[in-house]
Amino acid sequence: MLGAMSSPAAAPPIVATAELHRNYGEGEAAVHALRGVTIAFPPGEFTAIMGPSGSGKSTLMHLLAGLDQPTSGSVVVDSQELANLDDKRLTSLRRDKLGFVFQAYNLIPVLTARENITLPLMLAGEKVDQAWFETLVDAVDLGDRLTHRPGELSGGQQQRVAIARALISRPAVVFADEPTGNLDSSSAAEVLGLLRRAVDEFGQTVIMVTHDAGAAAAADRVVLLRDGLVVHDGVAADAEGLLDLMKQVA
Amino acid sequence: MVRMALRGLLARKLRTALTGFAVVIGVAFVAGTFIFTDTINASFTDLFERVSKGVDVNVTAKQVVEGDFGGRTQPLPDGTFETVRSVPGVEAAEARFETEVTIFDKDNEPIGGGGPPSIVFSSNAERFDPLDYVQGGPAEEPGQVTLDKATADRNEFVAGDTLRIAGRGPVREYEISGITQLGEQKSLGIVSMNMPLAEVQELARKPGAVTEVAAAAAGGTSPEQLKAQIAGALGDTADVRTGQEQADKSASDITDSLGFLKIGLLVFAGVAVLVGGFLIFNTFAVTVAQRSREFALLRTLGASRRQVLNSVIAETLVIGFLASVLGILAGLVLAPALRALLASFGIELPSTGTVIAPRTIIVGLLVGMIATLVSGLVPARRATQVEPVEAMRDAATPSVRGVSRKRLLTSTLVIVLGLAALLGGLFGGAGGSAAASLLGLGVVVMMFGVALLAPVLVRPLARLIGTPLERIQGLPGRLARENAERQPQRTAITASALMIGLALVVFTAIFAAGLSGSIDKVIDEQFSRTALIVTHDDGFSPVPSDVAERLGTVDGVDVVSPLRFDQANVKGGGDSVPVSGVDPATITQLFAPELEQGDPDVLASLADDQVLADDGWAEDHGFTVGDRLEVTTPTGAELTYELAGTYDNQAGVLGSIVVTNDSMSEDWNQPDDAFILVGGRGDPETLEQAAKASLQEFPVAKAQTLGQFKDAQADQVNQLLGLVYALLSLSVIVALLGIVNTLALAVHERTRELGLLRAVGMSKRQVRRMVRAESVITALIGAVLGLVLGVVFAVVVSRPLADEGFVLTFPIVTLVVLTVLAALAGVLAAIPPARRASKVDVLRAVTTE
Repeated sequence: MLGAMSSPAAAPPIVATAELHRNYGEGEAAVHALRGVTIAFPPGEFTAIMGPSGSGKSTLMHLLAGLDQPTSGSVVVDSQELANLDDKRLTSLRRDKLGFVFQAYNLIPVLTARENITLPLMLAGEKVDQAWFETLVDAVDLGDRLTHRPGELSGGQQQRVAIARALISRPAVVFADEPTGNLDSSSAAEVLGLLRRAVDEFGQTVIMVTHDAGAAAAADRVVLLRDGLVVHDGVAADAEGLLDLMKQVA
Repeated sequence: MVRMALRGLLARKLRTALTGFAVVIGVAFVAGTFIFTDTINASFTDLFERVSKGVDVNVTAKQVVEGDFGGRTQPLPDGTFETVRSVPGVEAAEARFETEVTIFDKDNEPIGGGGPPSIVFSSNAERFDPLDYVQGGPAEEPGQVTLDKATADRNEFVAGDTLRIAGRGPVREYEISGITQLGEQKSLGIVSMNMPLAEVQELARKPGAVTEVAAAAAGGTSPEQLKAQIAGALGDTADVRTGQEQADKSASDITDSLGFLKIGLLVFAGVAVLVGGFLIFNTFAVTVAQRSREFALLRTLGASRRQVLNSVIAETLVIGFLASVLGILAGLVLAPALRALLASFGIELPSTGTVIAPRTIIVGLLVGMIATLVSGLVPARRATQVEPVEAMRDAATPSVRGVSRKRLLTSTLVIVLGLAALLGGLFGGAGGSAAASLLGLGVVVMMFGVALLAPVLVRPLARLIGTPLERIQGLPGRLARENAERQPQRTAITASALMIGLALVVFTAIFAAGLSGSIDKVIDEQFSRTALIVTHDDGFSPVPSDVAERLGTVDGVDVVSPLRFDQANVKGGGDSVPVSGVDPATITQLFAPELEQGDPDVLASLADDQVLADDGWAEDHGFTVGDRLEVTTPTGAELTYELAGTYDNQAGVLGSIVVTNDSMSEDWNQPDDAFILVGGRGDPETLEQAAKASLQEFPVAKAQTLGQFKDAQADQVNQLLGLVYALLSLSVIVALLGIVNTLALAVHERTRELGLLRAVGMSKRQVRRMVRAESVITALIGAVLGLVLGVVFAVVVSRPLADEGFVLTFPIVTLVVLTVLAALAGVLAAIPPARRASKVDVLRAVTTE
C-alpha cells in the first residue's frame, strides 16, 4: 500500500487532511466511505482523484470542499480548519476561497453568462475586477456570448462559463467534479486545457475528481482511492499508463 | 390506473393535503352556513311552538302593508277581545299586547343598541304561560316585570333588582319579580320581559290597545273548529289562525327575514370556494408538469390517453371527496364561530342543538367534488398530451411558454362579457334577485377574464414591483423577480387567487367611504340650518313621544321639527313604499331639500291632503304634479292625496312620498317621531348640552350636533365594514395558502439550482430572502390586480347611485394600508418555503449520481 506524501513541500499545502473518516448509517447498515485518509495538496498543482465507484473519491472531494462534514479527522483549507465549522462560515468560505465546476447543472438559468461568471462576487457584494474579468473571459473564449443565457449555450460553453466563474474570485482551490462527464471529446479537451491553463498561467490549485483516465492524464498528480483509502499517489502518467494502473488496483 | 393514482396521492401526502385544504375551507364555509341557518330556524320554530302553549286559536290584526321585518304590528279593532270571549267554543281567552322598549343595564347604558330588540309582552294567565321561573315568579302587580335569564345573566340582574325601562314616555323603574327561561333556550335572540297588560299598554302610550287574542277551546272542540267559529264571529276584521298555524307563520316570517343573512353568507362561501378552485388548478397544473416524465413512461408502456386522463381525474375526485368530508366536519366548528362573529357585531341569534340536514351533507359533497373536478380538468387534459418520447429525454424544468395571441383575445372577450353582465344587472331594469344574480355573475366572469389575462401582465408588473426590491436586496431580489417571471402562468394564477379577495375588499372599502361621504354631503348641504338632530339611541326606533315638546322648552332652541316614518301601498306606485311625515310649519326652517316640480314653497304650505314625491320615483311610475294618489295606510285606511310637488331625494333621507305629520297622526295611527330636527341660537355644542340636560328622563333620546351625527353614521358603516372584512378574510387566507403552496412546489422544482447557489456561496439568509422576495412580488401582483379590479367595480356599481347623491370617494389611506398588508402577507406566506429552501441539502442537490 503506497500512502506516502508525494513531492517535498516547498510551500505549506493549501489543502491538507489528517486521518479523515466518513461513515454513513449505523450498525449493520453502516457504510465507511472514507477510512482514514491523510493527504496534502501543495499549491499550484493539478491533482486528479480517481477510483472505481464506491471508492470514496466523491466523498473525499465533498469533504475537502466543505460541502460535507467528516465523521472524524481534520480538513484544513488555506490554514482554516473545516471540521466543525458552522454553516455560515462554511458558506462564506465557499464563496470567497473556493471555486466549483460540477458535471452538470452548473449555471443559473435566468442569469446571463456574464452574470453567472460574477455570481460569487454578486453574492459577496463585491465589485468586479474588470481587468481580471476580461482576462478570464478571454481565456475561456466567451467574449461574444456574455449576454446569452445558459439555455442558449452548448454544453461545452456552459462548462467554460463555469470555469470562469470558479476562477473569478481568485480562490485558494478549484474543485472540479467530473467536469468532462457530459461533454463530447473536443469540448472535453477544451475544458481540460482551460483547467491546465488555470494552473500553469494563473497559479491556481485544481483538484479534480474523475473516472476518465484521459481526463486524469491532464493532471500533474494522480491519487487513487479504493474502499475508502488511498492506494496510489504519484505523478500522473499518460492515459494508457493510468488505465493500467487502475486495472492493477481494481 | 386508479390504484396508481391512489398510491401516488399517498406518496405525496403533504402536497395532497395542501391541495385539498383549500376545498376544505370552502366547503366548511358552505356547510357551516347551512348548519348555522338551519339551527337558527329550528330554534325559532321550537321557540314559537313553546310560546303557543295552551293556545288553540290566535287572532291578530290584518297586515295590509307588508313591511320589512314584519312591518308595524297593528292593534286589533276595538271589541275584538270581547267578541272572541263570547264565542261558545271558547273556554278561556286572553288579550295580549306587546311593545318594543329600551332597557338599561347597571351602568345605565342602554342594552341592545342596533342589535336584537327588547320587547315587553303582557303577562299570561297560568294556562297560557310557557315560561319557567328560574327565580321568583310572574309579574302580577303594576310596577313588576320579569326578565329572561340570558339577558339577566349577561347584565347581572337577579330577582328583586330594579330595572329601568323606557317606552314611549319617560324612563320608569320596575322591580324584577322573576327571572324566566323558555324551555332549554339559552338565548332567545331578543330581550324579553313580561308585565301586566295595562302596564304594557301604558309603556306604549296606547291604553286599551290589543295586538293579539289567544283562545283555548272548550273540551270537545278542535282547534280547527274553534278557528271557524271565531272567524265566523269576527267576519273579515282580523286574521284567525290555529295555534299551530300561528307558530308556523311566526317561524317562517323570521326565516324569511333571515333569508338575506343566509344568502349573504353563501356569497362569501362562494368566494372562498372560487379562490380554492384557483388554488387546486394551480397545484394540479404544477404537479402534472412535474410528473410529465411519469406520464410519458406510462404512455410508452402502452397506456392510452384516456387511461392517463382517468388516473388524474380519479386523483381529483379522491381529493375532492376527502376534502368535502373534512369540510363538512369543519363546518360543524364554523357554524358556532359564525354565530359568535355575528354576536360580536351585535346580532344575537338563538341556537339550541345543531341541525345537520341531509341537504347540508349533499350540498357540501357536491360543492367540494365539483369544484375540485372542474379545477382539475384542464391540468388533467394537459397530462394526456405528454408524448411518450419525453420519457427518454432528460427532464429539464418546463420551458417558459410565451403567451399566445389567442389567450389575449379570449381573455379580453371574457372581460367584456363580464362587464356586459355587470352593467346589465345594474341598468337592465330587471327585478331584485334577477338583477343581483346578473350582477354577481358579471363580477365573477370579469374576475376570470382578468385571471386569464394575468400571465401577460406578470412580466411588466413583476418588473415594476421587483426593481425596487432588487435595489434593496441585490442578487436575491433579482433572482426572485426572475423566478416570478419565469413561469408567468403559475405566478398569475397564484396572484389571481389573492386578487379575488382583495378586489372585493377594495370594492367594499371604496363603497363604504362613498356611503359615508354621501351622507356627510347631504347633511352639510340640506341640513345646514339644523343645530341638533335628535334620534333614538339605537338609531332606528321612534323617539319617545314627549321629547319634541320637551325640546321646545330648552334655552336657546327656536325651532323643533319632527319627522316621521311609515310605509304604505300606493296604487300604481308599488307596495310598502317608504313614507316620510313632516311638519310643514317648521320643516323648511331647518331642512332644505331640492325641489323639482311644483311651487317653491310647496313644502312649507303642504296641506294634510297633499303629498310630495321623490322625483325619480314619480317619473318611474308616471305621476305628475296635480295627479291624485290613492294610498292605503297600515291601518287599512284608503286615502286620496293630491301630488303637489316633487323633490330630489338625496341619500334616501326622505321616503318616496312625503305627507304631513298631522295626516299621519289622524289617518295612519302613526304618532311616533322618527327623528327630530332642532334649530336655535348660539353654539351647537352648548345647545346639545342643554338639550341633554332637559332630556334626562328620556335616556334613549340622543341629541347630537351635526358633527356627532355624521360620526355616528360613519361608525355604523364601519361596523358593517368590519363584518364584511371578517367574512372575506377566509378567502384571503385560502389565497395565501395558495402562495405557500406554489412556492413550496417551486422550491422543490429548483432543488438543484438552490444547491448550486448554496455551493457557490449563497448564505441561508440570502436564500430565504430570495424566496421571501418572490412571495412578496406574487402577493403584490395580486394586490395591484385586485386594486384595479376593485376600483373598476366600485366605479361601475356607483353609477346608478350617483343620481341619489352617492359620492364616489377613494379612501387612499385604506388602499395603501391594504397594499402594505398584502406585502406583509407575502412575507408571512414565504416563511415555510423559505426555510425549506435554505435547508436544501447542498450535497444531495449538486451530486449527479
